[in-house]
Formats: sequence, structure tokens, C-alpha cells
Amino acid sequence: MNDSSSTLKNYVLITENLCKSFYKKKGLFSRQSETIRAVHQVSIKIESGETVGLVGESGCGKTTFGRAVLKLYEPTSGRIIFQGKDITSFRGRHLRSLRQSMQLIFQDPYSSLNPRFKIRQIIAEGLYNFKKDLQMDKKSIVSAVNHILQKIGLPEDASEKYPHQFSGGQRQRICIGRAIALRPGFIVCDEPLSALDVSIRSQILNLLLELKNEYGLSYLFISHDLKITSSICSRIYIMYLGEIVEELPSTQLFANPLHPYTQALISAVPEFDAEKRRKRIILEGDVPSPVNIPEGCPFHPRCPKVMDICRKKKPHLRQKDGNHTVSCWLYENQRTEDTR
Amino acid sequence: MKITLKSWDVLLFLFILGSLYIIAVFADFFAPYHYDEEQRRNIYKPPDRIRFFDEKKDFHLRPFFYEQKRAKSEMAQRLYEKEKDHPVNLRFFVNGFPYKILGIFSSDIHLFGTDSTPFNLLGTDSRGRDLWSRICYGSRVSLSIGLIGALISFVLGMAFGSIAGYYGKSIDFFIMRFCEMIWMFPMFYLMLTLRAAIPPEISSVKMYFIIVFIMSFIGWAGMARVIRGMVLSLKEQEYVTAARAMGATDLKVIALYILPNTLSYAIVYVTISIPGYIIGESTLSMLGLGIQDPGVSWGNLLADAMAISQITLYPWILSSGFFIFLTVLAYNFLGDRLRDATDAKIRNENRA
Repeated sequence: MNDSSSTLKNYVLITENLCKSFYKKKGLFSRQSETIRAVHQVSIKIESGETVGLVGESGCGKTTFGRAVLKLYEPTSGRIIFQGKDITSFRGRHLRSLRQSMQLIFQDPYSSLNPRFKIRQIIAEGLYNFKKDLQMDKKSIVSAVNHILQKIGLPEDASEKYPHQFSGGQRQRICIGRAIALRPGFIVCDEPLSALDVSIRSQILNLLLELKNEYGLSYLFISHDLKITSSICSRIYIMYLGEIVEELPSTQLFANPLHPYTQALISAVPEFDAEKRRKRIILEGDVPSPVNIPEGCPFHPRCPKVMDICRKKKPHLRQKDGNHTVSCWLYENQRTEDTR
Repeated sequence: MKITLKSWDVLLFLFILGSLYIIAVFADFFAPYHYDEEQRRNIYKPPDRIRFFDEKKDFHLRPFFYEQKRAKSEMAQRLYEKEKDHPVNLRFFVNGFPYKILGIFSSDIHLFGTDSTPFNLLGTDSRGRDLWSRICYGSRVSLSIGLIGALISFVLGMAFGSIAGYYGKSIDFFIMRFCEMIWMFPMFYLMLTLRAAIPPEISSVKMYFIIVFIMSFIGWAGMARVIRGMVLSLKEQEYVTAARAMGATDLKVIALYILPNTLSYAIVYVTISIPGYIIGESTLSMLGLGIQDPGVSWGNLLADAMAISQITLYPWILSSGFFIFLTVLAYNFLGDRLRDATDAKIRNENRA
């Protein structure tokens, strides 16, 4: 990185070639282990106050990436720069103090709340952990919890109830309340809507947007819903098999998707209007196993526009125009010779 | 089918256990004689039978018994004869030897007793000591050793099991291999070996704690293994990840988020393991390696009954074995019921 630190400060989060692999022993007596490449060389940037989307199929490594960014998983390689600080090697106490400024909202509002805690305890979890740093006593924690309950639209008497007494939407509100209690600057939203009824999604989405405006939050919004993502994010990263295949401004998502994978995803978005209905691009087969990543472009076994070169060589992310970046041989033909 | 803890058989066993513990706590009150008091003329006296009807079938409101006097010995057996013309009234809340309730209040009231002729509810042993009194005092050791031993291995098992499960890798490896090393030896021989490392002549109190230590040392391994397994699955729960994301320390995550969820299982495990401690203590004491005369425990009382010839002649000396049996049965039964109940609860929770 040659950027000066002042430009670094504008970004709440930068990852550079972040990789996360899991290792699994092949057999009981085998010394070899399989590598499961969940996230591979992902570089993203999130400006402060920005909402950035991360879209991909199930199992493509979105969640792993979201957790690696928060250092809930130890990254295998690469760098994470958070608010201008390289936090890749943070551990123990330093890491813990970081938790105040970065938070996570989970996909499943059922399993992410401790069934034995009251709502009051759940929301105050973080506040208690940083009681000393925040210089809060019991009284101020109680009033902070009440304030948050009001913010997330739950009645005050909810604080003495247990999670199982609430519906999915209310539980997700509680999760959001817990995440904002410490006033973080950055929140990873890991598919916060996918476990909810369609009727409730807009409520939760509005709540997230309100809080963002009020607290100046930045979101990394992980989702597989293209419409919602494009409506709230300024930029979108498309992920396939743990790699970023395309980065584009959300205005471009439906207008000008370049990567065949993005095009296929968009063609799968249901459309009621028969006029607007696009021709479906049906992807053959499943996502390849992250244990055996195909040679060349990882998408080539399923790509409808596959070429010879895709099977042999891996394309690199190339800037097309403005903020639009794509990694596909289709858009690199003029440069093919250089890369050899 | 709904499994509840409120059924007559659970209540029955709870009542039995409760009574036994009350007897243990207030042993001085329930025992008519001091555990070391010898009645030289009444060696191996059979139990005195409580009667309400005399020879003429007349009813007496006050229970009485017939005094038993030494008769001629036949071979080695001591024989006693009932003096049917000499009924002795049993009296309740009599004054006897002085003691202190819970070690604080002085008293000399005993539940029952007689004026002069000794009354031996369960007979006497080889030195003429009242067996019922000795069982009352022995229950203190036998019943408490189960609880304390199980409690210590519960704490150790929870601590080591959760550390092994939560941190994994080499810590897990070392703790679990150590557990397996303990498991590898047959429990009984390990117990004897550990006992052999300690000088034979020490006071009863010290011996008590040494037995507790030996048995907890053997017992925690199983507990740790079970807890480790549960922690392994619980630590993958999302709310545990959430707690870490919220900046909770490892200690907090383990103590507040993981261990409470293992508790219902751990309690069942502890309940079922208590009989093991009681039997372990009895075994050691019976072999003369645990509590030693004049100290009493239920196992120690059985030491008298090691020779088959004694048992055939004086079967009442086995009565402490009956109390061991009753306690172990009650704990096993309650543990089973507790397990059924928690299983049902867990199943219902998952369904909800």
C-alpha cells in the first residue's frame, strides 16, 4: 500500500488478499490433510458511512469472510486494516477492545441468542464486557438498555423476557439492538433478512437504515438477495467459491452485469411482469467443492460462455470502467497476449 | 408420554434418602448409645423385637421387648434366651449420654431408650456395641463421602472438561490423554495403589479426606470427558460466537454461555455417580484400608461380616449392607428418573 495514512482513514475497512482455509485430516492415520479454501485472496474496501454488499450462492464463503474480517476466525493470510490500523495480528486484550467498534448481526435470530439470558442481559452483554472502558455503572447500563429497546421498537417490559417469547422479527431486532449497544462504527450484517418472513424484511431493513443514518454506521451487507442488496448498497461485490469475481456500483447491477456468473444470478431473480421477464440462464451442476477448486477460472465448469483459455488460466480482476471491476477472460481478450 | 418427577416412586425414594440424611445429621439423637460403647455381657446379641402383645395376647399401648440373657454356648455360637416373664418397656425421648446438636447446642435427649436393660434394635457386634447406633454414626461418613466426592469431581470435571473442549488442540490432547491414563487402570486396583502410598496409621478425619481425594481423583476423568464432548458441540453455537464478537473473555464465555447448558446433564451424571463413591468407600473400609475401628462407616461395619461362619451364626451384622443397598438403589433410581425428565425436557425444547 502506497496510500498515505490520511486516505487510509477514509476507509473503515480494507482487506488485502485475505485468505481463510480450513484443514481437515484425510483419514484416521493419514498425515495429509485436505485444504478447504473458503476465502481466497479477497480484497475489498469499505469507506466509512458506506454500505457495501457481498453477494453469492450458499456456501461460497460469504459468512466465513464476514467472520474473518471480524477476526472471529483467524485469517490464513492477507491483511485486515480496520480504521487505519492493521489488526491482522491482534490478539487477546487488543482484539477484545476492538470488539467495541466492530459488530456482527447473525443470519439466524433463533440460534444467536442465548436461550438462558433475559433480553436485558442480551442487550447489555457488550456493555458489561466493557464496563470499565465505558465507565458505566449498573444504573447507566439499565438506562442504555431501555434506550436501545426504544430504538429497536420493543416495549420496555421486553427486557425481563426470554428470547423464546419473541417472534423471529423481534428476535432479529434484539440482535440488532445488541450489536448497536456498544455504538460500533462498522457492522457485518450476515444475511440478516434471510431467516425472516417477507413481510417483516422491510421493517428490519428500515431499522438498519435508520440506525445507519443516526450513528453513521458502515455496513458490510452479506446477502444472496440481489434486489435488496442493490437497493441499500452503494457498491456490490460478487463472490464465487471464495473469490471476488466482480465488483460494481449497485446502479450497474441490473443494467450492466459483466461476469457470466452475475448475469446468471440476475436472470434467476423472479420477475412478475411478463414483459420484463428475462431469459433464464440455467447454471449446470453445483458449486464445485472448495476442496477441489477447478483449474483455471473457478467458474468454468458451469459457465455458459466458457472458452478454452478459461480451463487453463485464471483471469485476474481488471478494471473495466470507473468502479466496475471484473475477473473474466471475456473482457480481457485484448490483453491476453500481455499476460502470457 | 409425559415424564414428571412428581410420581409416587420418586417421592418414595426421595423420602428414603431424606430420612437417611436426617439420621446422619442427627445421629446422636437417633442412636441410643455412643458408637463406641461396649456392652460386655451382650456380645453378638440378636436384635430385640419390639412387641405390643404379650404372651397372653393382651395389647399394650407402650411398646416393650423381652430381655435377652446369655444362655449356654453351643460350640462357638453364643445363644441368648428371652425372659418372657420379664418385659422391659421402651421409652421415648429419654435422657442418655450427652452430645451436641450440629456441634453447637448441648443435649442429652435420645429418640428411644430404656431405663436399665439395653435395647439393641439391630443387635450387637463382636464387642457388644449396638449396631443401630453404629449404623447411625456410620451413615455420616458413608453418606457424606458420596456427596463430597461427587461434588469435587463435578468441579474438576467441569473445569478440565470445559478447558479441553473450548481450547482444543494440544490442551485437549493432554487433558484427554491424562483422563484415559486414569481410566486405563482398573478402578479398584488404582484405589488400592493410591491408598498404599499413604501411611496406614492416621486419624479417622485425615483418612476421610484421603478417601475423598482418592475417589475424586479417579472419578473426575469420566465427568471431564462427557463435559468436553458437550462443550465441543456447544461452542459452535451461534450465541457463543456472538458472545465472543461482543468482547466477552474466554472465562466468561465458558462460565456464562457454555457450562450452564451442560448443567442439566452434569447433574444427572453426578447423581448417578454418587453410589460409586459410597461403594468405593465401603470397599476400602471393609478391607481395613479406609475408616478404621473405632471410627465407623457402613463399610467398616461390614468388615465384621467377612467370614461366612460369622454371617451364618449372626446374620444381623449384615444390616449395614442393607443400608448401603438402599442408598445406592435410591440414588440410581432418582438419577435415572432425573435423566428421563431432562431428556424429555431437551426433546421438548428442540421441538419448540
